[in-house]
Amino acid sequence: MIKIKALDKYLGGIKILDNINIHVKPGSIYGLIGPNGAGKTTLIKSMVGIYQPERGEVIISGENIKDNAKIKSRLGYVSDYQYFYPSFKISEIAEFYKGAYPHWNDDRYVGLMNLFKLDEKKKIKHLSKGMRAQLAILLNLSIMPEVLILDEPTSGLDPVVKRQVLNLIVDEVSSYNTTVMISSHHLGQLEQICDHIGIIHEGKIILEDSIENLKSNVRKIQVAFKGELPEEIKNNQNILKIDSIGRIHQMVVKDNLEVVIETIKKYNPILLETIDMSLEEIFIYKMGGEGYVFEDIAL
Amino acid sequence: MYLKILPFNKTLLKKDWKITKWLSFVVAGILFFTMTLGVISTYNNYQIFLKEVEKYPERYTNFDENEYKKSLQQALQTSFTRLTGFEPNIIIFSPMIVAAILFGEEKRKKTFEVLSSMPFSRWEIFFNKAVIAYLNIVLPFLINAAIMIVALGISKGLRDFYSAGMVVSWFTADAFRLFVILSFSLLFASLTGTTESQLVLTFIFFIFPLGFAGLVELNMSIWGYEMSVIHSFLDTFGGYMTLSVLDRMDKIPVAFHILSAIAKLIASKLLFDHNKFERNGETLEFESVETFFKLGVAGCASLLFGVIFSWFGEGDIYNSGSMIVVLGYIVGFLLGWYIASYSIQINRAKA
Repeated sequence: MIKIKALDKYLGGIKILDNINIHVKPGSIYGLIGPNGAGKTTLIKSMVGIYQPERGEVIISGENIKDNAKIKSRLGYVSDYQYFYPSFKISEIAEFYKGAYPHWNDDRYVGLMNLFKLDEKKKIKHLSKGMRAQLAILLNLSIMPEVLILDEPTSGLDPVVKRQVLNLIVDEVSSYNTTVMISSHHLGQLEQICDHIGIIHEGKIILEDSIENLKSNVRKIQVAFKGELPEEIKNNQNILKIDSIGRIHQMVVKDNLEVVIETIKKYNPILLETIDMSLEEIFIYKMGGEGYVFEDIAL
Repeated sequence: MYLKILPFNKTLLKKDWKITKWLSFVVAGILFFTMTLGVISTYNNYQIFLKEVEKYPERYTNFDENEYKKSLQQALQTSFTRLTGFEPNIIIFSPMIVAAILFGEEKRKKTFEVLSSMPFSRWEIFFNKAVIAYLNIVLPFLINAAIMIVALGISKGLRDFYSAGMVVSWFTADAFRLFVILSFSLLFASLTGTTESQLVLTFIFFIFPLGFAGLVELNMSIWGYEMSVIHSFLDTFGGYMTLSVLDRMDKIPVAFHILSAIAKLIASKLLFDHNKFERNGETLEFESVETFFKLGVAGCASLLFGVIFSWFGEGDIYNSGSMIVVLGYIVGFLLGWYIASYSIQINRAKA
């Protein structure tokens, strides 16, 4: 559904995006993660046709996005800061979107207006940052998009509305099979809703995988023995890291989890359990091994 | 693709009208109070004056009613055929302001980014903006022309002073002038990235032929040279400048200005197609013209400072010394270069 091929983008003579390749499957949610200044917004603006990349192309639903009004009519875009006409009322902005997008759905718009409890008569300049974000999301859902691209959509929202928005996105995908790309600098937030994640750092995608793969490849085991930790376990190549507090040892295991458990069982542990890891923890171990410092990349 | 030959788009037209309509109504009001009101009350004022003369004949012993009527007719004829009162300001500034609202402001507020992610082609965006810009600036003249014609229908006495034909030709001439100046303003709308730089550069280049010629003239006189060459240059070519539509329409064929305006519109559209939205908010949309811009500002500042430094003496090199004037050129050049570079750097887009 979304294919980005060998995309390069320069801003002010500086290479901001370097050979970006991304493939997002139809009906999936792709999380684009990276710190401020990593190139997330530049990538998204290049994807929706605001910026023209110097090299490479963005293909959406099989067609190049460049100057393609047909594809853009099914493309929703929520920017990091909602640039609306400040003197317009909400109803006037909605009228503008309705005229621009042929698949606009009035029922959906009314439903979402009721959900967010926004006043149609209010002018844009009188809306708070959070209300603007809500408005941008509801407008872009009302256009019935096939592809929805959101740049930090929950920034500035309170926790309740944040949850509401994330639920709406998940609902959108399950009800309409919409393809979603969402950017954030919070790994934890995207973990709950994304199928795939891509981590962008200094203009390059440094990690891209499905959440399922990432989680199944790296696991944590909590184990306790009567005596010392056996040498065979200490030297096991599949164990990335061991943290010990007294007799309890927490181990991060990469691949071959079953083999490691069999080895542990040979030494009659008094406690043995596997613990799910958060995406943040997986990322630390995975990228740490490749020379990246987590704090530099994802905080 | 949804590209059409004439891409009228109701949604874009409505949106652009909504953000600019206030200007149209303000200008219509100004025009009404500075011109139309005076025109339509001519007969009334004439009658009041006649009553005054009747009441106090001793005060107006030499009063000739026909002469008075003739003078009023001439005054109205002048205001219909030449730019008078506040009208030239409206003709110059309303196209520049409407272009700045529709382009510069959309760049500054980054709403162009929203538009470019929506299902509109650049051609659609540009075309509908140009249409609304022209309608916006012509409408006040149309409204006022309509009022003047309706007034003719209501008051028979007014028909002695002006005709519907005079109003129509007044409107046509101003609509033509507005078209020419709007095309010039749109060219700078496509070249610049902020409201301020758009307004400043449009105005500077609008008066540039006069301003630059004036600067050269002053500098030549400092060095003791005759400046008849500049006068004859302005005499010959001045009529071809955009500025000349305000005054010298009789000397240069109207067709030249129309063709020139169409060429400027085409150039604006082509430049707009090549605008990079990441440069919105920068002084200039194109990096390639930055050096030219800096050299232009530095050159003009250099000439200006040469003149200013010559005032330390008597305004010529014999009294102030050639070194002082040369120093003025150097200071002006460096200052102009610095100001131009600073204005570019301060607005430079960040990643």
